[in-house]
Order: sequence, then structure tokens, then C-alpha cells
Amino acid sequence: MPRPAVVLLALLLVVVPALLWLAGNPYAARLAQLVLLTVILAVALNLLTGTAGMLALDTVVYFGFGAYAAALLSLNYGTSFLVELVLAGAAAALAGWCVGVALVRLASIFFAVATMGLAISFHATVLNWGELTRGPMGVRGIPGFRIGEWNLEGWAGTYYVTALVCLACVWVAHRLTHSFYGNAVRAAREDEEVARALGLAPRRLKAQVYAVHAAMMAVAGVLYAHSNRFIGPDNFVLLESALVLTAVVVGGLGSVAGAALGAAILVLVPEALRGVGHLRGLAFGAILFASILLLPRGLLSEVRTLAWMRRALAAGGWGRAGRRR
Amino acid sequence: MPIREEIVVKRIILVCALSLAAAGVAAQPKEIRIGCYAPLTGPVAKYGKAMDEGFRMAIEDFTATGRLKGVAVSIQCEDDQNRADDGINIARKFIEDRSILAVLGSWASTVTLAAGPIYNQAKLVNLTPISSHPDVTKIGPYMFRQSIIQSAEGAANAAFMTELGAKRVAMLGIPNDYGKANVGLTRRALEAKGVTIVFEEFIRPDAQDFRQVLQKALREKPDMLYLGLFAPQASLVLKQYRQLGAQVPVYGAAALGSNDLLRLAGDAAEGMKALLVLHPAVGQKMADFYRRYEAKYKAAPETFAANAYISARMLLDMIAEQYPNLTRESIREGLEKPRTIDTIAGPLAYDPKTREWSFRFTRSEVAKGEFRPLQ
Amino acid sequence: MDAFILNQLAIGASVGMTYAVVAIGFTLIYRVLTAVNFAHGEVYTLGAFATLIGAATFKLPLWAVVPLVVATGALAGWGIERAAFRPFRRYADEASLKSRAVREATLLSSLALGIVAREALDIAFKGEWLAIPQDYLLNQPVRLGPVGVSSGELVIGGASLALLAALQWMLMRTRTGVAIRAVAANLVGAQLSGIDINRVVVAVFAVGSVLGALAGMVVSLAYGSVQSYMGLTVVIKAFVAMVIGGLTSLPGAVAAGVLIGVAESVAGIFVPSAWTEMVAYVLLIFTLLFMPRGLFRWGGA
Repeated sequence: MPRPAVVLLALLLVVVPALLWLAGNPYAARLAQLVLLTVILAVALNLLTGTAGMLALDTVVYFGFGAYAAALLSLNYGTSFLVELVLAGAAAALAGWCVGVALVRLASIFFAVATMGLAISFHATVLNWGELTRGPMGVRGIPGFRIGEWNLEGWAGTYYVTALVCLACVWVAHRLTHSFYGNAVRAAREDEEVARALGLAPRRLKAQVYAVHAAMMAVAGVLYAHSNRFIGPDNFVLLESALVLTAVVVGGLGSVAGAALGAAILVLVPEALRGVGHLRGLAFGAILFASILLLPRGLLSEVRTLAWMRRALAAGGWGRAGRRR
Repeated sequence: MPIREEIVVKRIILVCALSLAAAGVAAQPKEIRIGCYAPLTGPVAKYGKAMDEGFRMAIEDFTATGRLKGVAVSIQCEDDQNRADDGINIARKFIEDRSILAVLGSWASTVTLAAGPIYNQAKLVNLTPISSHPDVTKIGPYMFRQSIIQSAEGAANAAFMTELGAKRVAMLGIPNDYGKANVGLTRRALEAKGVTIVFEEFIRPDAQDFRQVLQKALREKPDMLYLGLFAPQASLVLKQYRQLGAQVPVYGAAALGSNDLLRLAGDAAEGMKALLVLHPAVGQKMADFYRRYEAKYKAAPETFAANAYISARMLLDMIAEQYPNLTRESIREGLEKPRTIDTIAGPLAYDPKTREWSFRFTRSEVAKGEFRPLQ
Repeated sequence: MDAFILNQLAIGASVGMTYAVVAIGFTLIYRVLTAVNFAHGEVYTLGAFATLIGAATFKLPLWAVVPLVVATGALAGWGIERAAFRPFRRYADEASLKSRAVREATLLSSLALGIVAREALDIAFKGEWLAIPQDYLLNQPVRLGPVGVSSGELVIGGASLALLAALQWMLMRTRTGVAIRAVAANLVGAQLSGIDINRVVVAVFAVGSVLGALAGMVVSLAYGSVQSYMGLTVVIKAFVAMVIGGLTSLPGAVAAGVLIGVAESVAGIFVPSAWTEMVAYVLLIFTLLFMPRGLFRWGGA
């Protein structure tokens, strides 16, 4: 049996691009790229909401921060997207740490409301701070992906950049989830008191997860700005946060693979429903409702994924070359 | 590499096409398809549907003229949900579909600005009947706009307002690209005429109570209140303004020259001045359009339906002229020819510099529950 | 204080009353089930549409519109409970009924149900902004000294206080009220003493949704326009009012709603009004961080 990591790498870096190339269809390429971008968001949110158990609605804050940072930096200072990935990621991690330290004290529903407040305030700021963000006019003419003279603006370049960053984020999320660190975070989620009694610092763990999630969101934002080439305040409304949360819930809270699956569904199902015209919103609501009712743990539940991962790790099959022989 | 391959394919197609043309047996396309993207669901679905209905009426009327008999003409409307992402997805889809000759849309500038560069790069014409952001046609030579030009409206507003005696104007706008451009350009034209702007604010998009901002505006003692809003908010503003008992005359942006405003605001709109563009009072043809639309859809049309109708009709008439030698490029060339076209809104002149058509403005006042054109 | 400031405060208070009147029903449901009903905004919208249909289509007198709205609200509450909440009450023990998993599932299921209801309304009414007929509107100016208000505001203010009083009376003085409080205090205990939980929960949803629908009615009569997306921002504001008011306290939610309205209005004196959208959320985060039990709860209760 080939190792899952190898399968994943082969799939995203060879098989999918090959299929896209054969199809010669930029629409399919765009959807593939959008799925990968949403996977970053979903995996990051899953780390926070699934593994650490903090229901958050502030996806658009860090996502939008990354997007605006990339847009304004590249237009005003001509920076490369690689620089922006590092800068926006680091700044978001720092900001996330500060916000996280303040907010993790709040119990679940309060935390959710506070993050909702952050999301709405972020949108209002972007909309009204016209001198910096051009307000409702949005930022236009953002350059595509480039490394020096190397032009990656085409669909293949855009796809590969997104795929590599996505794989890196998934790897980080995977390592954080399936490790002693992940066990500690889950313990903090289930019961703070017990976790403290075990010698863990639950609030510090949660703040750390919050910072990591913020950094990933910002990284996705940078990719978004350079692939969409235009961003405006309307891209970062509260509803978009709710959509990503939906993806995580439908996919299965606490499971990295579930989050990725949920992201793919979130992007592809509405796209497939395009044909039903104005019934689309109704269909989306109905599907969401049905999936919560019939699959309350999501498509790939945390328990099942964890059990599967533990077996794979015990067999030495995951990312440890040569162990099995 | 895919790009090179595409070039090769394109050359082969070109050679085939040339040889066919040389043989004088140019294929007669039996089907003409135009793409469209508009918000068919979501909070502004109403406007997207109005566009869709306008397009359909244009097709119907075009078919009734009997030009291009035996050719199936269709406009395929896709839902962009007022989201930039969806606009881009649709654009990727349309540029792939070689049977689509041109694209109409969208409603929101945010969506058009996101999708526009893709159409432009793929050399597929995107004609927007609505999106009023000043940057839309700056995207490139394949972007056209056939809606009210904000700078022209600003100048016409300023001329009308100064003739009405405005010296100190308070301005309210909606905080989106439409409102910013509309208020900004009208303000510039007013200031050039020596009018003082005593107050300018953008309302909260989520609010339904505007008395607070109205009181702030009235405190600055304006002699005219300018509303750069859409009908739903403007009707609330007008009602609450009457409730405050203020007497300062009200002037509405051209977007408010619609019966929708009268329906929502009722008596509160009485006495408001505005420029009319796509209103039945501007001429017989427009009145006819409104009557037929109402008979067909059992509801009064949005002005956006008229926008959409004009754009689609112009495009279809041009396609009929060019038939059967139709390519995506020929559509651009056809639109590029500077000329004046005859529409339900009267003659529209094309400006090749901005790739826009200028509409005629009719001065009006609301009296006894309807817009009365003023001489 | 000059008349301008007084007027601004009056406007703020009346806007706050609209948040408060929606927050009452919302808070009642949270108080009993510790679950957030995000479809409450759509109940508010339904109330407004019922008013519109009663007034514009059937041309009923205003007093006859009220029972129509009440019936709509009760029916909507029952429907929401059956569709979005009951399926998750599979296990009748306290731990699972108030567990995080159930809370989050019902939050999302009610959100989804809200989307379905909103989109259905949107299709049925073509996404149109609709006007309540002029002669039903409650917008005659009323002068109270230097302050000008409208009759509708007095009605909204009066309605939210009356609804609050009626609700408190019901909770304290009637059998259903006692049962509701028992369920809120200790679900399993209530069940053991012979209370039919499902009936009580349905009653809570029906009462809460009637209040939501009545809120939609008075607000639509005061402002005159109705649209399928009108509940969206209001429900968020009601949510914020509930949290600031201490989550389970009905008077707290009403006071917090008014406070938010006044704070927005006062902020609007100093900054452009577009920025005042943030005021409620700044207030919210401040409250959560420094007074986590709500602005109005210092001790027990």
C-alpha cells in the first residue's frame, strides 16, 4: 500500500494538473485552485473550531487582512508574493496571538459572538477607511504570481503556487492535529480544568492555535488577492465566514481530511447548482440543513479519522520512509 | 505547453476559416449565444432578475423584427450571487465556451471589476448595462459600458441644481462604489460652479433609521439636500425627512428617477427634483417599453430592466448586421465604430475614448405622485 | 443640553427599542434551551410580511392584523422547533441536551432553516421591497417638548415594554410559565416531576416567535418597507443585545438593546455615521472581556 502522503502529493501535483492540462479548461483549473484555497481556510478553521473547540466567525478578518496586505504591498512597493506570504503570515500570527490571549477566556458561545463582532468591525473598517483601502471601490489591478522574472500568472502557475502552499498548510495542520500537541489541545477543548490538572496550560494552547489559524488564513488571503486580481470589502462579509464554517461542519469537525472534503463540497456544489438559477440559495440551505440533520458528525468524523490515523502511524505508514521494511 | 498549443490550434482554425472564406462558403451559424452574469439570488436578486427579464424582452423583440430568420438567438444568464468569486468562475466558463460571442453583465461593479480582466484578456467583449464604477472601462479595450455615465450625470445635476438656486448643499450617499462615484462627481461639478458643500456623509448600509444623519445634515443649514442613494434607502430617508418636518428642498440622483421610488416613498417624494433617464416620462418609446413589460411580467419594470434591454438590443442588432461573419473580435470592432444608435431612451452617442454611450437627461419634479418633466 | 442632542438621544433610544423588541423572543428561547435560534430573524421577517399581506392584500383593519401576525409567529415557532431543534433532542438527559455538540448543531440547523425560509420568501415575493399602505403607517410626528418623535416609535417602545411585562407575568404567574422556568432551571428534574418537555419547548418557541413576529409587525408599520432580507441584521443586533444583557435576562436584553441604540446615536454625533456600525460590536467585546456576566448582572439572580 503506498503511503497516503505520497498519494496526496502525486494527486495534487501530478494527476490533477495533468487532467486539467488534458481538459485544457481554465474554468476547471480555476475551480481546482479555488478548492485548494478554500481547503486552506477550512483546515485552519478546523484546527480552531474542530480540534480546539472554539466556534469562530472571524475567518474574514485574517483572510481579508492577508488579501489587503498583499494587494497594497504589491501595488505600492512592488513586493513579491513570497515576501508577502511571510510578512502577512507573521503579522497575522502576532495579531492572532494578541487577540487570542484576550478572547480565549470566553466560553464557547461568547467566543463565537466576540469573533462575529470582529468580523463585522473588520468589514466596516475596510469599507470606511478609504484613504488606505480605497473603500468600496476596492483594489484593482493586483499583479498575478511572479518570482522575479518568472511569470506564474497562467493557470498552471497559479494552480501550483496554491497547491504548494495548501500542501504546506495541510501538513502543518496534520502535524499539529496528530501529535501529542494535538492530544493536549483536544484535552483543553474537552475540559479546561482536567487539562490544567494534567499540567497543561489550556488557555495558552488555545491562544497558540488561534495564532496559527490566523497565520494560515492570512496566507490564503495573499493567494486570494493575487489570483483574483481584484478585492473589495464585499469579499469579506460575515457571510463568507459562515460559509467556511459550514464547510468544516459538513466535512466533520476535528478532522483535517473532513475539512478538506467540506471545502471541496462548498466550492463545487454551488457551482454545480448554477443551472437551477434562482433556486440556488434555497438548494444550498436545504443541503446544509439535510447534512446537519443526517450527518451531525460530518462526512468524516473526528473519531474515525483519529482512529484511522493512529493505525496508520502505528504501522509506520505515514511519512516515515522505510520503517515498514 | 498549453498556451503554445492553443496558439497552434488557433492557427489551424484560422487557416481553415480563411480557406473556407476563400471558397466563399462561409459557414452560416445556426445558433447565436450571448453570455450574461447577474445576481439572480441573494439580497439584490431583484435587480439581477430585472436584467434577465430585460434581456429576454430584447430577444423577443429582436426575433419579432424578422431579422436572422432560422437562427436561434439566446442569452444564457448565470447567477453570480453578487460575489466576485462567482463572477470569475462564470468568466472562466464563458471564455471556454467558443459559441458565446459576447458577455453582458454584471450588476455590481465589484463583480464586473473582478471578472472584467478575464474577459479582456481572453478577448471576449464584456458589455455592462449597469456597473457604474469609473474604473470598469479602464480595464481594457474589450470592456464596454452602456449605462448612465457618472461624470455626465454629475455635470447635469450641478447645472440643474444651480438653476434651482442651490448655494449650500448637503449630500447623502450610499457607501458603495455607486454612491461614492455619484456623490463625488456631483460634488466636484457643484464646487466648480461655486456651490458650497456644507455636509457629506455616507449612510450605514444596515440601518433603516436615518433621522440621526438627517438632523446632522440639517444642523449645517443647507438650502438643498442631495440623495445619492437607491430607492429602498431613499424612500426611508424621504419618509423620515418629512417626519422631521424639514422644509429644505430635496434633489435625487438619476437612479431615483424611477417609479419604484414613488411606490415606496408615497407622499414623501412630493416635490423632489431629479433627472430622468430610463423613465416612461422621457418619451413615447420608453413608455411603450414600460407598458409591454408590465403586460408581460405583470409587474412594473426596474430601470435596470430598461438598461439591460437597450444593451441587448444594440448587441443583437449589430450581430444581425454582421451576420454571418461573426467572431468575438468582430463584435468588438462593431461596438468600436463611433456612431449614434437609436434606442428606447432616444439616440445614444458612442464615445470611443471611454467606450461608453451617453444618455439624455430630462429634468423633472415629483408632483401629485408622479414624475413631471420640466422644460 | 440643546434640542439637537436631545433629539439624537431620542432617535437612538427608539432605534434601540427596535433591537430590544426583537431581542425579547430571542432571549426567551436561549434562556430555556441555551440554544441560539438563528431563524428568529426570519420569524421577524414573516411577521412583517404577514402585516403586509393583511394590510395590502386583505385590507384588514389594523386590529385584525394582530391575530394574523400572532398566528404566523406561533406557526413559525412550532415549525422551527419541529424541524431544527427537536431532531437533536434524541437523548433526554441534561448533559446531552445542553452539550456543546447539540448547541452548535442547532445553531447551524436553525441558520440553515433561516436560509431556506429567506430564499423561499425571496422567490415568492421576487426579492422586491414592498411598501405597507400609507394609511396603516404609524409615522405621525409627535412633539414632546423640544424633542420630535413619531407615533410609531411610541408604539414600538410601548410594545416592547408591554410584551416584556406580559412575558414576565406569564413566566411568574401561569402554569405554563412555571413549567418553562422549571425546564430552564433543571431539565431532568422538570421531567421527573411530570412536565412534558416537548410541550414546554414548543410553547417556548411559539411564545418567543410570536414576540418576534409582533416585533416585525410594529417595526414594519413604523418604517413602512418590507423585504425578505430585513431580518438578517436585526437578528445579529438582537443577539448582541442578548449577550450584553447577560444572556438569560429579559429586562437585561431590553435595556441592552436601548443602550446599543443610544450608543450608536451618540457616537454618530462625533464620527461619520458609517462608522457607527461598529459601536455595538466594540461595546460587545468590551462587555465580554471586562463584564463577562453581562452589563446588568453583578451578583446572583
